[in-house]
Amino acid sequence: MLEIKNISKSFGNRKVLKNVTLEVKKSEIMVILGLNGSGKSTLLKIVSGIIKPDEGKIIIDSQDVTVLPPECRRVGYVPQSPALFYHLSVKDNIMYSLKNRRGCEKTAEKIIEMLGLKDYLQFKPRQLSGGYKSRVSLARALVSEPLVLLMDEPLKEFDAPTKKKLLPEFYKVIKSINIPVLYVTHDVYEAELIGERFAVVTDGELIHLASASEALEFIKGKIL
Amino acid sequence: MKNNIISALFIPLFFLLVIYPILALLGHVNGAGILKTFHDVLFWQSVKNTIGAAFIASGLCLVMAIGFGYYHLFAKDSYLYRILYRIANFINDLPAALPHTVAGLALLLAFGRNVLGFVSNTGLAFMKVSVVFAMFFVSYPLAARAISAGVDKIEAEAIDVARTLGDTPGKVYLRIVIPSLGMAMFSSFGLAFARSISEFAAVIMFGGNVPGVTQVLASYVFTKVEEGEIDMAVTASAFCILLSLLVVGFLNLINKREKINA
Amino acid sequence: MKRKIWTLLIFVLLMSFNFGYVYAYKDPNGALKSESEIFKGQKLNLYVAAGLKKPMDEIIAIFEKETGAKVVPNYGPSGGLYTQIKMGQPCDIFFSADWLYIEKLKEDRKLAEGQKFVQDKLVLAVSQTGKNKVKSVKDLIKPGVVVGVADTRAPVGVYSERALKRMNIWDKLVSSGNLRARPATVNQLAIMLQKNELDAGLIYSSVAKAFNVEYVEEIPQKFTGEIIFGAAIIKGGNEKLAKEFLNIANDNINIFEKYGWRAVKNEKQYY
Repeated sequence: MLEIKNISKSFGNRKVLKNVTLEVKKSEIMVILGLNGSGKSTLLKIVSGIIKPDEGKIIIDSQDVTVLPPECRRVGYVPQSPALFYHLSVKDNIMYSLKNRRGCEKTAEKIIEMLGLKDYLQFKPRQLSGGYKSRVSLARALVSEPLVLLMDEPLKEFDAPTKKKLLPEFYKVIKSINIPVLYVTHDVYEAELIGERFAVVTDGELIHLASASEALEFIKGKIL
Repeated sequence: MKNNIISALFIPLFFLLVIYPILALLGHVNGAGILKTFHDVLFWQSVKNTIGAAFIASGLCLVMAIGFGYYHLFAKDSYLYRILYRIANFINDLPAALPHTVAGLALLLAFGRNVLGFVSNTGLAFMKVSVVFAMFFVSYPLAARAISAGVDKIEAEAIDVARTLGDTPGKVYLRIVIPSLGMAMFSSFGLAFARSISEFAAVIMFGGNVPGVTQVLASYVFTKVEEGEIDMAVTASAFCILLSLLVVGFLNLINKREKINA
Repeated sequence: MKRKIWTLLIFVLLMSFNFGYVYAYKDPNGALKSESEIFKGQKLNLYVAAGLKKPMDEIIAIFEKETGAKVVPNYGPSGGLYTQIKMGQPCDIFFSADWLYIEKLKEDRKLAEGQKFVQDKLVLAVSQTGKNKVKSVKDLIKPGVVVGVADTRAPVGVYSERALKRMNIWDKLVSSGNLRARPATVNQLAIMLQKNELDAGLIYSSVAKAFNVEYVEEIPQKFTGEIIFGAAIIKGGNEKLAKEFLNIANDNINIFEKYGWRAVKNEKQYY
């Protein structure tokens, strides 16, 4: 389980996150919506350990990881751009965490199979299309056997048809892993397809909502 | 080719201020000068000493610059790193700002026999090693800046992801950052090399400037100018220029081949 | 008659103006308004061999005070300064550590006036550590002695090589490997001795005095040749102002003697 307790963060004078509290259970996909610049990405980076919060705690499976650097936490991070390691092959990208003794070959094979990457292992990342780069990015994160999965608008760059194709695949793979998932997006329809619980970040505050459409209404209301 | 005011101004100015002086120098090379120079043993000795020392100095610059790049990247991570980085960054620019003779004097006082007398009767000064070190001292800031520019170009998210996959900062730097530096390493080495072969005041003070042993090409040219042997000075200078062009061209070639294979 | 008287009066008036003007101009102290107004605000491009810096700074101060002109000094090795002048860099007056460059300027037809200025001698200077190792020139080739001789771009380097060659020591010195440093100027060599980074070196007695460096032997003139520092007024520069500077320098030659040079007894003029 992932527990985010009273997280606050400011950049200079701007308070980006105010007292954010949130719980995500195993196998639950929590979608976080919000306008650009609302602090959603910052929240993910704090959970992964890349940014340190000003206040608050992050607890993963009952362990307080707030002061731990990213390499000591067991989080999987899928950023906005695929951020693949371009000097390594697709296979080496996916199996990267094995260098740090995280994950095993069996898990890797399963995930490669599920995401349809078996025929692409010897390629270099530059040779792949956008959709496949995203698959590799997700595979790489999952092979490390994380306790929490963080996805920061992973399908931002894609058009609607591609999204429609990839999302169900991703959903199947993520659900099979059985860990809490934080999925950030500003696309309400994407949220509807993949999400089970919903929240909105606005003015630094996190507000729980019942559904994606409710979130849409909320955001519309905020703008008007 | 855009016909606009920028082209109209820049292109002729570039030719006039950058290309023309080099051509003027090359244009003054004549057969007599070439013969005299190529027959001078001291010329070839200074060439050998200069290239050899510059090569080693540039390699050293590159290694140290890569080390600097680490702190440049991870400065924000901890209090200790931040302090180390600020100091390194500040000092980085110092050798470049010092007048070259002052830099040479500083090296002499720091590593001469008063401090390192146990190493030799001149400390670490007045030897071929000293030439390398003087070159390193004045070229390092350039190399460091080229590498840190290269580090900045690397996608921050890739580094973040590697850390979530279990890499400590050190491991990320070795496994992801350094392999991705590519062109930056070549330009770092190239800049350091070009700077090293043109340095002479610091090298004279600390290296010793003894013809045939620690005299560098730049000093040789200068001496020829003073002696009134303009022909030889021009030949030696042209040699220097062609040498630099060769190095830069070679580095570019390697880089292109790297890009194709990638 | 009236016309003759008027003519005489005007003649006398004009003549008195004439004499008065000549009298004012000839006054060597230049305290009169007419002379200082001539030079006030002008700039003098002064090239000076590095070794003469200290006494020359005092001369510059006197000159600027007396004439109101401003001096733009350029210190460096005599050879380098000569080349700059040869290449056309603006220079009004040049003080060289080697009379050779004055002669070269005459050959180049750039000399308006040349003058042998001061004399110096070459000495074997030693550092603190060198004191115990080197007592005379022949000690320079003993094993383990660290020697510095200026580069030939500085006149002191030329004098040193010439002297050591005439004493049959130069080749032995080079082959012994004791010659470890050939700095570009005499001052750099003096600093190295002062800071004890070398054991011994050949410098001018004036420089030794300036840097507080001891010397153990004076090199006889028969080996070094005359070491004459020369002054050259450059053709085409501000020759009047340069002449004024030279006059003031000559009048204050005692300043140079204070720093260890000797005045040249028979001034030789070149045109």
